[in-house]
Amino acid sequence: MEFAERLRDNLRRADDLVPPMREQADSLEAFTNLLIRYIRLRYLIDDTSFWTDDLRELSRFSMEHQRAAAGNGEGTLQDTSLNCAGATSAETKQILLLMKLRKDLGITLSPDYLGTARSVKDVAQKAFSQLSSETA
Amino acid sequence: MEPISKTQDIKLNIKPVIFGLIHEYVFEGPCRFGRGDELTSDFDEARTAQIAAGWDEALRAELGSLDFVNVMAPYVSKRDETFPLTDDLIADLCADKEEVDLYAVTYYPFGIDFALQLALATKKPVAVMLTGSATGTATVATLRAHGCECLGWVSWDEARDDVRALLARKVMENLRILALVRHNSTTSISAPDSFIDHGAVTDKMGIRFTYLNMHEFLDQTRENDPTANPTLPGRREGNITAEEAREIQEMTDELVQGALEADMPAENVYKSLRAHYLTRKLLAATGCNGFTAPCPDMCATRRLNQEQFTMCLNHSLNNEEGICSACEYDVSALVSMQLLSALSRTAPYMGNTMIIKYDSDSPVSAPKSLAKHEEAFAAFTRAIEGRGGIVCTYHSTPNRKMRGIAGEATDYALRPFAMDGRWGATIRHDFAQDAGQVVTVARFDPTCRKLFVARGTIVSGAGYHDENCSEGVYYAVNDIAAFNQGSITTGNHQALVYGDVFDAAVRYGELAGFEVLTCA
Repeated sequence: MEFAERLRDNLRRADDLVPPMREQADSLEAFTNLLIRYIRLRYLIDDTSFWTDDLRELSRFSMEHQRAAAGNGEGTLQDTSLNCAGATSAETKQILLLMKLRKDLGITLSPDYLGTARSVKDVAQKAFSQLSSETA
Repeated sequence: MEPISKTQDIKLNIKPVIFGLIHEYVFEGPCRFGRGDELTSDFDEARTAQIAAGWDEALRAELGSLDFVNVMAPYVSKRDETFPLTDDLIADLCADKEEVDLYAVTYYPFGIDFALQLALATKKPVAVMLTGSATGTATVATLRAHGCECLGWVSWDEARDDVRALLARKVMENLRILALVRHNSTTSISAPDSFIDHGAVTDKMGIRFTYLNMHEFLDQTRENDPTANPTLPGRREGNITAEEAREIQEMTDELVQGALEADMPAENVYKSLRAHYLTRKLLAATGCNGFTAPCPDMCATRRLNQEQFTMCLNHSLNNEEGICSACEYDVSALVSMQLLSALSRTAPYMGNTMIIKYDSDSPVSAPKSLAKHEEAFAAFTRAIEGRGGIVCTYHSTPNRKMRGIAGEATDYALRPFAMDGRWGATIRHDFAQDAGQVVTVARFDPTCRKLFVARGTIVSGAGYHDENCSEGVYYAVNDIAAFNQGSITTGNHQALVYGDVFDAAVRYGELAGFEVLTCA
């Protein structure tokens, strides 16, 4: 499968997980498992066994994994984007992931939290508790 | 006894500052571009928070791990794209400037204008990390052009050296020297190469001096009526009390029992400790935390012979307790000791310093007393055989905390300074056992304009088995000509600490405005 095709497919499959996360997860554990699948798909790491609860590590690994897959030999360069913000792609990726999750689930996550969240479990806890209180 | 405000307790307060930028509107242009959510104010806020957390975390891990560093709560600026620079914003940024010693700054993505106002308003140094940051480079150029102090780091190792140097500069500003005087308050008979103008020392480094007449000091070592001292009749002074005498006796017992050898009468150790105890009382009473006293000048009065002590043990114990203390009223040596001790966190040593073997085939010019102990002399001879660039630093004031003030005390012997009278307690340390130890050596010049810094490696020692001032450490340096040049420029008594703080000492010299001479 071409990279672009795979990307489109992964994003569609991640979107498919949103309704179950919003409406059908009846426990934190079930929600967390769905969230992990959502992240693996959006980060294009569903074809590896790699996993960690650390969001920064996940973001870094996702970039490295994609770069390795692309095979352009730039793996040893530090990835600092050239825009004025000076953000690495991995750093940007984490913020955009959480912004997308916030939008998909209709939950509240502060901008500070988007930038500083460290743990997938913590994100799951925050999201699940908000969704649970909505349905209660 | 009142507590002494020790320089070893001084912390360097580092304030992380993050200049963020939160765009109010979604737009693109020559300095802003991205896709979708990347152009929202939420993204900017998240990114600012991300940078702030990363900067704070890095500072705490890389610099906060140093025991003398206190990383303060970060300041995060969230200006919008109108780049406001109001008095209120500047005042808020500088709110805790009195406590801050260094502002460590980073950006998302602009804010040099704000950093400049910070430096101008606080007159405190600002530091930036340069690697991967064009803004860091521009910060250094901008702030320096405006006469502000700005440090640009290319690595955390370099940052740690700078932080040590800044700590030393703060320590110097808080050094208060109690100086016993006889003839005048500037130079003694044996250390005319000390600072020739204490006012210049105060102006340049912030060090202040309290002078005390040595006869007044000597009177107070006696357990007499504190209002009946010959030099201060009718004034109530700090003479040793009966209760303090009991405490000094306990200190004596502990010191004698702890020694591997105590080759002098315990009652004469007591007399030296009495002088030390009084020194501590006077340091506390005068708000001082450094000490020096003349040697030949005092000796010539015959009062030390009368009271039966020298200041050697006092200097050793002061140094290991974190109060720098120099022989012979050598204020340059004292300040040099304070510099090295602040950088290394170890107890300093000082002494007569001389080149004893210039080249590998030069004759050995070691003091004759070295040859007295046959076995030690043989070991010394073996250690320097075929080697050049050998220097010795020589005084009977080593201490038990040269490996670290917070660490365990090393082994020692007690022997007298006065060979006939068996008084004047000295700590004997076997420097030969420390062969291979890297040392840093330094001294300020008499004009307070130059600083010499050298790195050496111990090769041997002498005087452990001996008495008097015949005790010293022998070390090899890489560039003996440079060492010679540094010595003759700055003077005899070099300060010495265990450990390699060469880079930080050089950096201190640069930051404090000294011309630095080196022997790396």
